[in-house]
Amino acid sequence: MKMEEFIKAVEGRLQHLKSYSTRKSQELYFELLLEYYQAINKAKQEGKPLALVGVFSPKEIFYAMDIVPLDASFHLTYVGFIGGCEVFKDYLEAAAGYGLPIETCSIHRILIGMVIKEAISPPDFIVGTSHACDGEIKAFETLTDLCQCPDYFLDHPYRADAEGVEYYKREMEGLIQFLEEKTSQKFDFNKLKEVVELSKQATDLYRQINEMRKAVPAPMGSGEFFGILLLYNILVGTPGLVKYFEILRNEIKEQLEKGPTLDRENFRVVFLYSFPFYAMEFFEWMEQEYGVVDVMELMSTFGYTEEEMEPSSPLDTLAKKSFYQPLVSPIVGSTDNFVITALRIARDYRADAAFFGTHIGCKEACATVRIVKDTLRRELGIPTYVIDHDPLVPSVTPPDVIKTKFEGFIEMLEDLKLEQEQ
Amino acid sequence: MVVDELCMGTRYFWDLVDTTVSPLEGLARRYLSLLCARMRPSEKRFYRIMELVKEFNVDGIIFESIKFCDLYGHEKPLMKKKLEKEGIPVLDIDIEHGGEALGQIRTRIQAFIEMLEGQKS
Repeated sequence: MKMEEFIKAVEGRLQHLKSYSTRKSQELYFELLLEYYQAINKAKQEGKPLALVGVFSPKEIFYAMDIVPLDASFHLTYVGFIGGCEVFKDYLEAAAGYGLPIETCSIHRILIGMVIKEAISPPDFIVGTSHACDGEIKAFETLTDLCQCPDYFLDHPYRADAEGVEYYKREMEGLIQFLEEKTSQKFDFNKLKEVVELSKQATDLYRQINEMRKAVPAPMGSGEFFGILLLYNILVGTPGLVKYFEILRNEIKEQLEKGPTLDRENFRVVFLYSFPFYAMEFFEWMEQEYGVVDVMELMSTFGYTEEEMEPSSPLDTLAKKSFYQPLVSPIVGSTDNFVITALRIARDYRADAAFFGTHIGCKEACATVRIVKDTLRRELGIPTYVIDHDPLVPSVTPPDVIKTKFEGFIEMLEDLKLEQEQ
Repeated sequence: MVVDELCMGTRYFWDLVDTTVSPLEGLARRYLSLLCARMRPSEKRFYRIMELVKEFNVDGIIFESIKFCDLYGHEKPLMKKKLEKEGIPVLDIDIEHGGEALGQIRTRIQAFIEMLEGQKS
């Protein structure tokens, strides 16, 4: 799916929502998404540098330099979610033809396939990071080779201590120097402070929303929330994201006052790790058919810290955020971070069960399954439904298989509930 | 086989620890300079392989990677492309720990050797 086709699909989705949605935040979500992709598509025409960037890269630095960042991994997620994962077949074949083994992460294979098939606008430079994911370290080298453009790679430290923060700050200073050289413009730290102020506002609102989601019963269905992480990650540091979060926060507040939108909430579940993006209707189905509600996601969770962002020390605060921001906090460093975060959200959000979407191409997450499952059972007495799948390749675990196994799991959960009540 | 560049092969003995600096610094430098596929950029490893090719008069390379190792999985096509650009024939084989499919690997190596012989003659 070429960029122009994808933009048309986003436009179509927006028009649909304008006709049928009753919620302003839903419309605004797609308006912002459309603006983001239009900026990518027009970057060359408007003389703005286009950067292909890793999912964990500090977007604030690009926005402060008026560089257009195309988030490589989340682009695929959006394409799969909006355009359908069937479109990835050609890219997976192109990656196989290039020589990538099928055991490697499908996200990287599809991305490389998209570059081979010229479905992504040629970037002016590439910026990756080494957070948690070994595959990304190498996939970005391949992308650089295929795109024949300069690259910069941020080495993210393992430990979230003072030394780790200082180290990552230096890495970001290196990135700034690289961007100055490639764009021939001087970096403006005052501009970065402004962008980081917006990043702080969005981050504070995101935290508020996560707090509001602790309500029993849940304020809204889970389909409302999975997309927040994606938008936060691609637009953090922009005014549009702050506006979106304000509207969403107010809508949730209003909803909490009115009462839940769902008819029933039989079981509350926390979702750990990767969504099957090809089967998102599963969440609506489990809510409607069984009253099972996803109340929180591991990847939407902030690391446990009371620390607030400090825009007057922008690099310091971004270095700290690189450890506790959603998506990153459970998966950087020790496995303990993953386990402790899973335990914390299951407890705080009063979950009856956990769903663990593994993503079979991700060795880092798959390695934690057993320890997470055992810990949740031991510490909180709650069971875990493990969904082995590939988030972008439906043939690995078709949607019906997820549903059938889920039904078996729910029977067990109902029995467990009965036992506890007796 | 005249030389190897395997994780558990002679690579382990290259570039000994610098004893002129403190022991911990020497060890840190030694481990950080290992040319594993985990390290960036891959050019360093490519240049080392090219040095070995010249030093040991290598006619072809067998690139073996272990299934499910993302690092070598990603590096293989990149390295193969660079080596073939230098005129070095490369046979890539995937193996699994445990030595399965030895017959298949033997057949592929035989075909590769025939190709090398054809090139020489």
